[in-house]
Amino acid sequence: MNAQRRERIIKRYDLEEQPRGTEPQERIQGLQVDSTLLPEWRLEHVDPVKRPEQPPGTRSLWSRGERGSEQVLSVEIWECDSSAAAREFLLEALDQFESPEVERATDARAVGDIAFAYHEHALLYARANLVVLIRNAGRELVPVTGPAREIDERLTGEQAEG
Amino acid sequence: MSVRLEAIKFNHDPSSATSDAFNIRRNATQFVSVPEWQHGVSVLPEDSPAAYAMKETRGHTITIQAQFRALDPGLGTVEIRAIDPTLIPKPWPFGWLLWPLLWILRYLLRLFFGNVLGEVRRRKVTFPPGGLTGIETFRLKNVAIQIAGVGVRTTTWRWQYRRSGGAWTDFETTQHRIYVVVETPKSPWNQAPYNSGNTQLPWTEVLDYACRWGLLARTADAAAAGVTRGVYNLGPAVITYDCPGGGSTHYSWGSFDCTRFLERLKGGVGLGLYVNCTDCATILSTFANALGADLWQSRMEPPGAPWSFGLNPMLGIGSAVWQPCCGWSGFSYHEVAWKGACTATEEVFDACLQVDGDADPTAPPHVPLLPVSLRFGPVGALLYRDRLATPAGRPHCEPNPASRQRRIVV
Repeated sequence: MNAQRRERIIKRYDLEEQPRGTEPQERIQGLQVDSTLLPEWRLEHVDPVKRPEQPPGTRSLWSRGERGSEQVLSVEIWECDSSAAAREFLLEALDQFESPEVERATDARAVGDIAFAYHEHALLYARANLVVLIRNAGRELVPVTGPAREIDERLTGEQAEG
Repeated sequence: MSVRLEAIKFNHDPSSATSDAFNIRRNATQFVSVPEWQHGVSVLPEDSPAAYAMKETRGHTITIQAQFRALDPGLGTVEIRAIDPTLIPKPWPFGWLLWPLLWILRYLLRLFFGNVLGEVRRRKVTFPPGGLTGIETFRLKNVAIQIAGVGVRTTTWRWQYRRSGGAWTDFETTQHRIYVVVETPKSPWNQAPYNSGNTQLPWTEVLDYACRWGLLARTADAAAAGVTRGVYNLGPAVITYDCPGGGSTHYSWGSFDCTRFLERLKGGVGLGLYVNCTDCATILSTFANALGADLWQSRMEPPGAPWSFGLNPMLGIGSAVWQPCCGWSGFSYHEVAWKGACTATEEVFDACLQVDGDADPTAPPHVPLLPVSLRFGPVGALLYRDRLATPAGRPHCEPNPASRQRRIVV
């Protein structure tokens, strides 16, 4: 992400530069994305994410209800080297939203260490060194806060074990 | 039957595309091996694909290479050819008055369905004592690539041989999936290195759609226009704009997940229903560049505060409602397929939305206009920028040519 676009995002969301040495030191590694991540959903597929200039991660699609259901969730989880790297990557993720109405979540949607949301249907957050993006991918919309919290509970459990 | 066709090579020179087919693969994981047609292996046309570029082959004689086996030990030297069985035979028994109609009918049939590779010109082939020839080069005749334009068609050949002074005898009928593009594909597609590890060789699974969307095009712009319409018309059934998700990128953050997008085109889940402008720009430019267009994916955005630009009413992909996209106050950025340096003087192609094409794009009535070869333009020129952004938003809708890229295909 070039410096100009990074600066735009920081100013747009009024994000203060986090002083070095104050970021959380915990690191979550080797998270397995399988059908137990969201027990009420059916895991359709999991792809490793190997994009240039991005941390490694996974992209999974989940459906609920009858086969061919229109309730579909997309969950992407990236594993960064550190919490500071996760915050940097979060800026890049924010830069992918065309809507100017994506806002910092400070209410019930405030999942993880820092979160951004578009209404009830898209949530982007960082927890330690991980960045999570959960969105609707099907025609029948579902709120994503609940699944996001389920995932975050799994992450904090992994964090505690680490 | 005394002769058997063993193999045919269409892409017999990987370093060139002037007299033979250019380098292709099927998808991310499957290569197209040469010879493309093999006895006992190739049954359906799609088992034997080959792709040709109009520009590179213009003025050149196209050749194929083939290998034969004599089933009769005493065969010696014969003439071999392949004719087009789809042509209506001469003489036509209904008189000369209908001949012009017949000529038009044959032209149309060949254009849409026929042998763009014409026929295989006869030549002598000598069978050695073991019965298996070497790789023999044949010239094609009546090739219709330049007439037919972009498309994906089946070429059918009826192979025949004859002994000196004898009658022609059929020995094989082969069918081949032939793609015609305007020019050899542009980046992210490439022609080298030519090996199974190069995933950026043009994919036939992409050409299956691109050639249909760009059907009959003879220029890169016409091909890109067809692809723009083809992508936009995928909405709302296959893809639709990501209003629920704040207009986020689903298929093309970093690299373009073409594998999952093709899955979506074929009726699968893919990466879901939703796309944003980055996805549309990437899909459009990648598929159009497979036909020989030379487009980039590039952004327009405010250089500073305010952090968005206001939008005129539009029809987002998959939507039938004239409104600023999703009813938002504006876009924080927008991305399109763009020519050249991706500045205000270059043309854009936008498959993500239709703008209002009349004299006042800010208010009803609205005339749908899909941006195709539309110059971005300065403020006040009533070109792409003015049709996309409100009068107050136009100064903040600035090209950002530093963002131009061509995402690799995975």
